[in-house]
Amino acid sequence: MHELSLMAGVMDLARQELERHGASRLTLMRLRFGELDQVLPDALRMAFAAMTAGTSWEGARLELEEEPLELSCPLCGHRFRPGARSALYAPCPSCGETTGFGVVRGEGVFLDHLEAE
Amino acid sequence: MEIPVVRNVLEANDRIAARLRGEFARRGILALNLISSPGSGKTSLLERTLSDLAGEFRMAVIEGDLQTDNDARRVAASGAAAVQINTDGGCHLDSSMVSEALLSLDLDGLDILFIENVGNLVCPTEFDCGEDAKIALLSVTEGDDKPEKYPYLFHKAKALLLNKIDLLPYVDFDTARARACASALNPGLAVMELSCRSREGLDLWYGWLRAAVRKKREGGTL
Repeated sequence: MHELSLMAGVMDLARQELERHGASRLTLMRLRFGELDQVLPDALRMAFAAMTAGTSWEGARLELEEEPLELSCPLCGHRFRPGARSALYAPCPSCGETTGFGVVRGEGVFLDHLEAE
Repeated sequence: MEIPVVRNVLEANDRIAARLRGEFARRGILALNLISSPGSGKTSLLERTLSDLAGEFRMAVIEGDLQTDNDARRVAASGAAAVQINTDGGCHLDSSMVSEALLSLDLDGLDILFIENVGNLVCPTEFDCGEDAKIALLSVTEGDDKPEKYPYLFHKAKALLLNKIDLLPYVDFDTARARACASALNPGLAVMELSCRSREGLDLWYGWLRAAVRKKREGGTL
């Protein structure tokens, strides 16, 4: 449900960036979100469609990329990608440690790329 | 025209949160963001805490709900200052709402600010409100697999309160399982079992609060 608020933040950033580059009509937007962030792609698409409808940005393409989770082991420093979300609890494939993994990637929501005219 | 950007979508929220965090640090106020499903007992916990520790700390509450000021009225009955935010359908509080609510509170001499978030295990976790710690509440009627199903909150929280333990004889809640999963996600997590109704375990929570206030006054981080 927080996808609507996230998209409102995205739209603000996109407007700032287009203005800075002297462009006015958005044609493509690329967003990246971490596997940990509990973001629903369909809800993001719906929010984007609703917020661009009836504006000059209507019809712009939205590309979404989910960044897989990458963890680091607190004991041996090994970096690995758990196979599934529940594998947050899985042992480190290198040394077998089971807790305290740090998150290297796969957290946060980022506006990566825009195309405009 | 191609515009490479790479900007954090939450940067506007995080900027306000950082300002609030600075303000809380300057004033030595411990700010806690209470997050749980609806009905886990956040408001009951505050009612107990505000009346039991009234002689010890000056406390204030920001209440987040979709509608009504029921909760603000409940906690204000303890004598503590309370402000209600109605999100009108919004599923979480964000830093700008907290910033706005703070305008109605007297922060002078305040020891603890409780931010009771909208009942929701997912969205509130994502939005930093400038707090020192997120406190997760989980009641035993909800099921012991919640830390597995909703890992992000338990990964981010500094304390987990297992509430309504007076109901343990009547429900199939495996306390050890909930503890083990939450601690695996977050080994530093303080887990406390309590019941706001029977008062069992509340002393553990009060002990945690006292230590946190002390740490904050000394300028440390939790």
